[in-house]
Amino acid sequence: MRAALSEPLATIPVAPSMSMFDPVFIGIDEFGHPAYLDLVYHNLLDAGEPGGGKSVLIQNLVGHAFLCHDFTPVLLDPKWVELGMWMEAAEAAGGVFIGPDIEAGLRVLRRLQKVMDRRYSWLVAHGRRKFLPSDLIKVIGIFIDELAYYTATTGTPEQQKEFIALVRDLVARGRACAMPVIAATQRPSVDIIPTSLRDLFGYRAAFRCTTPNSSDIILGHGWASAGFNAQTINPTTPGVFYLIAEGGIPELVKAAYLSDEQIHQLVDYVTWIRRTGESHPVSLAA
Amino acid sequence: MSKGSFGTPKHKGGLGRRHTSVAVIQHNVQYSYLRTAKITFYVVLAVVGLFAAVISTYYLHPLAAVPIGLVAGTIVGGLVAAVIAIWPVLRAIWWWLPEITFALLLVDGWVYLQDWTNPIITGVIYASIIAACGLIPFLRRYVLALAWCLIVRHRLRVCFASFLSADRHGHLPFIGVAKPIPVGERVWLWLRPGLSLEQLESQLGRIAVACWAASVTVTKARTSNAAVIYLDIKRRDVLGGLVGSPLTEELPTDVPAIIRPVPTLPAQLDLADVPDVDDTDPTERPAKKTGRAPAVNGTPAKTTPDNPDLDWI
Ligand SMILES: Nc1ncnc2c1ncn2[C@@H]1O[C@H](COP(=O)(O)OP(=O)(O)O)[C@@H](O)[C@H]1O
Ligand SMILES: [Mg+2]
Repeated sequence: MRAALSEPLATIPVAPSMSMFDPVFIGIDEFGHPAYLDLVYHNLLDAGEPGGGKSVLIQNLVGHAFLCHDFTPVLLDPKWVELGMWMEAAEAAGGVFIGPDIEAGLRVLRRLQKVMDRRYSWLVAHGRRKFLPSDLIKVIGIFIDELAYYTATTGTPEQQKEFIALVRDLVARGRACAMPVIAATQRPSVDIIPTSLRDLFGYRAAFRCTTPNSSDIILGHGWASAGFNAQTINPTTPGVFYLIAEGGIPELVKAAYLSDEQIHQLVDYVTWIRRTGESHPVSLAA
Repeated sequence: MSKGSFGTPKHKGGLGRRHTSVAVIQHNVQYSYLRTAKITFYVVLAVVGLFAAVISTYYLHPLAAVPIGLVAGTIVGGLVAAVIAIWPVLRAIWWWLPEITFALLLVDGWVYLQDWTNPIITGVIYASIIAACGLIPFLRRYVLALAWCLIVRHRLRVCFASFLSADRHGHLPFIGVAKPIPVGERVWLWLRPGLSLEQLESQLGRIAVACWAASVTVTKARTSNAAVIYLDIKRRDVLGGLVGSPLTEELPTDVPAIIRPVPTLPAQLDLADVPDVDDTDPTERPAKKTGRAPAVNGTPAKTTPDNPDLDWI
């Protein structure tokens, strides 16, 4: 693939300047204020009707992540069309893209589990409890679109169980060692995602749902009756969702929109700088 | 329990009510305030009178201290009791305070200008202010938003009076200030004893209707005090527009496009092109699954039990 860049380039690629530890812009809230997520220390579950805008939100987060110098991508998308766009970029950044192949998914999750164990050993050795930006650690962002495909649709029940167990481990332990999980699914009910896994996500985004009950499943019990009901989101405005952060009040947010052209532009750029730019070996702080 | 049930015989004895007429609520509320005012008067009279008497003995003859204590106690107690007794009136004034202030300002302004200039100029000034509010878009939006705040406070009062179950004295939430927010209005409420957030939650649909709004949310305003809450009354959809992403703003434009691997494009895209045989060709599997995934995902959702608890446990 390097052959594509045979002729010398006129400009010198600049390294991505953002950090994964920066807040991620996701859109605007009802007051017109920009809404941000703190991705490194939180896992995000986004759920809702098909066509609600889940994948667009994930694209925003992936786009931001790729512009960060300290990001290693792990992208899983059984539908190919969303995160598959980032396949080359993921390769160039030293990460992986997995399509609708649960065995490949399991392999990468097992590898991630080992990475996590090593990172915790590093933390223990330094007497610390979590990674900080000053550690110059690579943040491994695990993005899974259509989580239900791996947990309830494809593969044998054993594979699905193992997938759930591995994701649960990453969600439960990945926070402190800079390995956030961002997953999207349509309806996170028990048959698709066990409650024990669902409840571990710190951020939940509820896109339009068909019933108040579905909304409550995503946001937590009781919010629909207080008026925070994702069923009431206007179907003509995709991309609007209720976002709840640990223990807070749900906020109505409209996600920013990235068109296909913009995503291609981003992919081209991040792939180019990663292939041609100096690859700074990032070492852990001593 | 709805307010209408106060006068029913079932509650009559237990709550010490004397009348069973339709107006029993109003009477009951009035009675309760008067009684509280009376008790308060005597308590304040005793306390303040005693203090005043004791303090005045330092300066006066003990015999002179007694009337002074009585007078001081009566005045302070009377004031406090009066406030309690006319509380329903004060509350009504509070409800209409913005309107009263506005009307006073209008009239005062007119009178003030009358003293300085002739009525024609005064009229012109008033007309131009009204025209400015109506014609300048920014001002018009602001004035309309403020007007909605006024309307909403009264609508809420009507709501609470008509369907919020109150305590046995008929206490309703105290309606605080309202302020415009981009989606509508935010109104602060002070819940009186006997009320709870859950009671309002169960009436949100009715409140939205009464306020001519799309939806209403209720939220605790403080973590330290459950009595302070606010209602967000939403009537405008501000999230309809497209929000652009800033990610591509600063990218250089002369980036060479990456060569994306050109997959062999499948030509047979219809159902008839796939023969009905049990093919387990591993290279074809992902492609088939991909197309089917959403439908398969959707199916289990329908079969999930309707019982919300089952879903949760
Ligand atoms: N934030 C947004 N702003 C504008 N349109 C959006 C937004 N999010 C989604 N859409 C529209 O909705 C469509 C479906 O979004 P998508 O993310 O694919 O839904 P999902 O993944 O939930 O099924 C998109 O193709 C786009 O046209
Ligand atoms: Mg999608």
